[in-house]
This record gives sequence, structure tokens and C-alpha cells, in this order.
Amino acid sequence: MSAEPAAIDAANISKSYGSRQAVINVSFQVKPGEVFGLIGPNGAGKTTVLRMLVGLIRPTSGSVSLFGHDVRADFENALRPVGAIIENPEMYKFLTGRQNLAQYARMRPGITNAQIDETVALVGLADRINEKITRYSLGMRQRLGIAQAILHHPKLLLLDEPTNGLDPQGIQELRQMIRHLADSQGMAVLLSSHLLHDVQTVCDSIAIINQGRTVASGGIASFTQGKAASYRFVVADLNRAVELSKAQKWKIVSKDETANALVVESDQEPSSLNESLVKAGIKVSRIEGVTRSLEDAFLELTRGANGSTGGLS
Amino acid sequence: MGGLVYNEISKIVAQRRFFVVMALLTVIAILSALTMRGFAGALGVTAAQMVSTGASGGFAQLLFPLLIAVIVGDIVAGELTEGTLKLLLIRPVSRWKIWLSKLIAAFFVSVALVCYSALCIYVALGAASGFGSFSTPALAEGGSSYAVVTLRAYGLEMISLLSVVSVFLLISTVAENGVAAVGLCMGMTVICSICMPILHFFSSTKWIEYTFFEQWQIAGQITNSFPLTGWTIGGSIAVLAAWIVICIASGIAIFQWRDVKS
Repeated sequence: MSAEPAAIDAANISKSYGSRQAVINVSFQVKPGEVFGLIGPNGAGKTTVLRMLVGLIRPTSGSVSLFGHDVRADFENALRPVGAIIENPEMYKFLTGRQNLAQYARMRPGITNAQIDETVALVGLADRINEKITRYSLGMRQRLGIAQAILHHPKLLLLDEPTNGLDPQGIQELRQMIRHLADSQGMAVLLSSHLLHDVQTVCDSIAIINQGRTVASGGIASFTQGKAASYRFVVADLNRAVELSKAQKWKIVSKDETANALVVESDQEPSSLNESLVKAGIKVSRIEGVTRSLEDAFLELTRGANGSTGGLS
Repeated sequence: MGGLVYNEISKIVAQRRFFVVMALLTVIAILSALTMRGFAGALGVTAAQMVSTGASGGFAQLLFPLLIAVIVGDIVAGELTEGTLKLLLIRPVSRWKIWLSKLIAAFFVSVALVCYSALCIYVALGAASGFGSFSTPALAEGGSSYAVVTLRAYGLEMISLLSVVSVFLLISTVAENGVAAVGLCMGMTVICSICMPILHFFSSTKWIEYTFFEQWQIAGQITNSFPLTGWTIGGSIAVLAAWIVICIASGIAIFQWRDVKS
């Protein structure tokens, strides 16, 4: 065994409900201190995966270990260093914010009142903490949800769609808080979202999940720097340029008839295509490199019926 | 475990309906004390002599279970409906401990409710027709003092209460919805109270006597108001204990294995 076990080690987890397979053979690892993004469209199986990580749902097959402790066999030790929000953080509406946090504090030894106050201040709820939850806005509930997750200084934080209900400023603060917790306290964070922007700006690594399968995973850079480069050509005769590009084995990514532009992709040099176009009498007025965004990678990977295009991992 | 039980009790008593139930119980206890008054006056008995009857009959079989159902019937299912269960179950605490802490909390609150009921009857009846003395020998109940009779009756009622909350927690664990769970607990109690006498009337089968519902009146064995014949206190305790063990074992097993999807 290596010196430090992975914060999360999900090994081939699957979950089926009757004949419907919600999650199929999903595997990934999150290292201590790493910010990991789990992204996918709504209904892809992200929440089911998160619920399996914390033992709320029992996998049909496969296993999950948190810091080397199996979630099924050694639940209490596995969950001790973990804080989480799973879907909306519903709390006891008939209690105040502080009473809610006190409930969770009593479930672990050694959480002081000072620690509660400190957490409340960190999430910016100090002036409303003694009010009942019924009077909280969605954003305030989300903040209280984050408070209950970080109250005990966890080594692993699981956040399911944490920006739901937060205003742009709250989202910005949350991102900074996540990055700060990861960098200063070495906290590993798993973030799930259907919003790419949430993930792109804070995560070190991501896994893209679609229809219950991991379709790609890796460091964030591997998604934005595709192996094949894309170029946008603005030409005088679009149709002939498309045919010629195809003949030269360039992949047509898109074409824009109003701008007479086409985006092509290949590992060949763009100058070779330019030369062929000019030789064929097609005037090229402009060539520019197109950087592939995470959004392009995401849309490409989650498109189609089975979405299993893969290839990036 | 102490912290867990404290949490569960604090959640029960922080809800408004707990106070509504307590207020309702106060009214019912006072009204029944007043109806006992004529009876007590005719027999020349006092509050100290009557208070033990508040642990048997309709109190034990219908009133307490219905009120307890309102307070704790949704103790598991309600958290599933409200979505609070998932935040509770991701703590480093095994599920069986959480289930058991809910059972213990429900039992404590039920015991408090019954003791409060006894106090209400004693005070109301005492004010109306005299408090009397607990040291008077209870001739009809074996000759020990009324203090002993009262303690024995309420002591047996505690076993009855433990079986009530065990049955209700099992129902609450199986039900997917909080309101449905309360409804099922209350409905079952009411239906049993209607059907059991009918079954007794038309059938001579013995199995009915082994249902938890019939044995909920166990305290009646002390006050000579137990409806079944041929039963010893030990026999009744054994039947209730069996139901308690069955309900706790299956409740924990279901709770431990279920997927929490809401």
C-alpha cells in the first residue's frame, strides 16, 4: 500500500434499479488535496454516484473506499473525515440555523461552540444564524448546508451541485472558499455539476459522466488541449473548400455559410491545407487557430445516444 | 449514543404538534377524571386509589397509542420525506445506532406523556373528590398499598409503551412518507380497536390474544381490568417482549439495508 491512500477510490461501481442501469462501471480516484469535478448533463447519474460514495445507496457491484476505509465494511471510519452536501441540503425547518448545526455537532466528538461560530462566520450567516430555517432563502440554506459540511474540518468535502440557488457573488465566494480550503488545509474536494464553468475554474481533474458511464476523465488540461488542433479558414468558395479539405483527410468540425468559414481539425500542419486551397484557386482570406474549450469537449462527449465516444482519457 | 438520543428528543419536542398533543391530553385527562368522579363518589374512593386505572383500558389501548402516533409516527419516514435523513446518515455513526436512538427517544417521550397523564388525572380527580392516601391497602388488588399497585400498573404500562413505539417505528421505517406513516399507525390502532372485539365475538380462536394490540392493556392485570382470561403477567410480558424483539430486529434490518434516494 502506498504512503497515503486515496481520498476517494471508487472501483467499478454500478447501480441498477430493476432493469434500468443508473450507473455502469464507474471508476475514479481523488487524491488528498485535489479538487475533482464530476460533470455531466442532468440525469447522467452524478447524484447516484455521490450517494454511493457516502453509503446512502448500496452499489449493485463494485466498492468505494474513503482514505482506505471501505464504506460498506467500515462505515464509521470511512465517513469520519468526510463532509458532504447531497442534492439540496434540507435541514430541520422547525429549528434555527444554530440548532441545526448543533444537531450535527453532537454526532461527532469534540466540536466546540467556538468552532460552530467560526464556521458560521466563514459562510457569512452570523447575523441570521438564530432564525428558523423556514425564514431562510435558498441561498442561505445552501450556505448553512456548506457550514454543516465543513464544521468538523473534514479532509474530504463532497459537494453536489453546490452553486444551486446561489447568486453570482455567492458562487464566486464559494469557488474561492473551495480553492482556499483545498490549498490551505489540503482538503480534497469532489464537486458535481452540470455547469461547466463551476468546474473549469476550480478543479484540478475531472470526470465526465453521461448515461451512467464515465466517458472521459483526467487532468483539466487534457480536455482543453486536444491532440488534434482545430483551425478556422475563411475562404472564397466554401463548398469546394469543404470537399478539398475532406480529400486531404481533414475533419470538418463545422461550417458557417454566412461567414464563408469552416473549422477543420487534423494533426497535419495548416499550411499544407492552405497550399492545396490556393493551388485549387480558392482564395483564403484568413486562417486562425481555434482553442478547444472544455465546453466543446463536454458537448462532444455527452452527445449522441450512448455517448461512449471516449478517447480522451 | 447519549448525544444521538438528545438530538432525537430535541427534534420531537421542538415541533408544535408535541404541545398540541400535550394540550389535548390535558383536556382528555381532566374530562375523564371528571367522569370518574361520580363513580369514585359512589364507591367512596379517592384520587390515589383511581390513578392506577389511567394505565389500563382505553387509555393504554387507544388514547396513548393514538397520541404517540401523532408525535413519533413519522420519526423515520418524515425525515425521508423532508430530505433531512440523508444529512443525518452521512455522519460517522452507523445506521442502527441512529434507528435505536430514535426508538429510545420515542420511548422516553411516550413515558413522559403517560406520566403527565397520570399526574393530570391525579390532580383533577383529587381536586374534585379528594386526593386520599397512597398507603391505603388495595383490597381488591391483592392487599398491597395503592402506592405499590400504582407503581406496578404504570411499570407494566412502560412495557406496553415500548411495544407501541417499536411497532410504530417499524411502520415508520417501512413507509416512504411521513404523513402516511402517522396515518398508518393511527389507522392500525383504530382498526384493531374496532375489529378485535368483533373477532372475539365471532371466533373462539386463541391467536387474537397473542397480538400486541390485545396485550397493550397489560397493566389491567394489576387493576383487574385485563380483558383476556387465563393470562398471567409473565405470559403477557413474554408476548409483548417477542413483539418488541421482532419489530426492533426487522426495523433495524430494513433501515440498515435501504437505499436513501430522497
